[in-house]
Amino acid sequence: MRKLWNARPMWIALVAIILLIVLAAFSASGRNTGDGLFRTALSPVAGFLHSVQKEVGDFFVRVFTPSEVQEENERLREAVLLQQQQLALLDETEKENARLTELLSYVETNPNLNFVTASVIGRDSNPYIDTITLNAGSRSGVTEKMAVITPHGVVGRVSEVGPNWCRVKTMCDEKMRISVMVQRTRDEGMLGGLHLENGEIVGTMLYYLPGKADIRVGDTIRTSGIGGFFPKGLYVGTVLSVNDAGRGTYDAIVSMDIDFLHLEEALIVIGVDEAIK
Amino acid sequence: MKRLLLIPAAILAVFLDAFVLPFLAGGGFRPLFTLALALAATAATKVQDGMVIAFFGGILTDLFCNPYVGLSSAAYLVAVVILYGFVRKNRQKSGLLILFALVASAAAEAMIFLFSLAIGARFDGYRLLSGTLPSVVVESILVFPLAAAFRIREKGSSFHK
Repeated sequence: MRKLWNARPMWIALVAIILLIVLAAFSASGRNTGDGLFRTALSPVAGFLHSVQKEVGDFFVRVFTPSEVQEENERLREAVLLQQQQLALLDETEKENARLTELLSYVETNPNLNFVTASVIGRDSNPYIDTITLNAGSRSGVTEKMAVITPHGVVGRVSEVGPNWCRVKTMCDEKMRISVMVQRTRDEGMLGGLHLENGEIVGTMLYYLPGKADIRVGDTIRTSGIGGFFPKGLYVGTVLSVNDAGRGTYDAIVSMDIDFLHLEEALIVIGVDEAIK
Repeated sequence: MKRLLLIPAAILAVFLDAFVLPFLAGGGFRPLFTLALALAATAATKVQDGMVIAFFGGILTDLFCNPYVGLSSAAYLVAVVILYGFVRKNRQKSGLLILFALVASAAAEAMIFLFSLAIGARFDGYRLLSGTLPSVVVESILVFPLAAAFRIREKGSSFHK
């Protein structure tokens, strides 16, 4: 084998490339390729490395914050830096507190929904695939196709689950579709696909509204509950513009209020209490 | 042995690819450090070193943060094979390394892009021009200093004169 490795590396590379492409294609078709076992084993490592990344990032944020500090003398600079560190930590804690308080109040105002709170521990490095990894899995009751939300709207749907992690296909994914309704008129439609202007995400596109639907800018869009994956009534966004000219393409652009690049926590809807509903 | 430096460098590259750049960069600009390192190892030491980094680095990156295991690894290996094909025939022209790396890196990014399109991703020309192309350029520029750092003038080195 060692002889072959030294004499024919190109053949080994070609065989490996073919096998890897087949593996990736199998993985993309949704078949079990056994990678879940490795992902589960690596999940704590991923969590640790993510925290290292955050700490390193926070360190640079703390060090490079205000430039006027650098003009002061050494003693004062150290004192200010210390204060900056404390302030940055306090600021970070306050921000985390605000995010979690917001999630908690959302949970309290939706007693019919059972949630699991999860933190984002990974994002795909492939810029054309839009998924995130959360640190909650089957041990917390998470299963495939569960809805993932924040108070600012729908994040996406669970696409893959391990014991302590799950992968979420986000609303940025081109194939992602959810059934929604206009809250004011109860007209139902389908939401999915990003609307871009100059490469910037403006919102998501709303399709298949009834022909005479009365939709206006500012209307609130919520999930309709059709399809069963997303519970009825979840906030999705507001109408930014109505496409009067082009029925047959899309009907309206709906705001996307979630900042996916900076999303840190999300709620996974693990059940709906019909009695309360 | 300098070659041992490839191991921590590969770990650092995977860390940057999987945990730093996806959280920093927007708009698709994500230079792949693991790819740059694999190419540098191919040029500076032996093609086998580049292959090992491409294979394990790609698999680890995929397991940590990508939904489809094997894609990064396959793309990096393609780039390594292409670069090796160039450098084997042009051993005396190390100045052309950036150009060779540019082609190899573009091939890897093209493979990732085409695979993503094949499984249903939307064609995003803006992201391709403003994100992927600059990433290819950065990756190929990175190869030169990395290769210089890891170059070991031993028998079998791809650029051994």
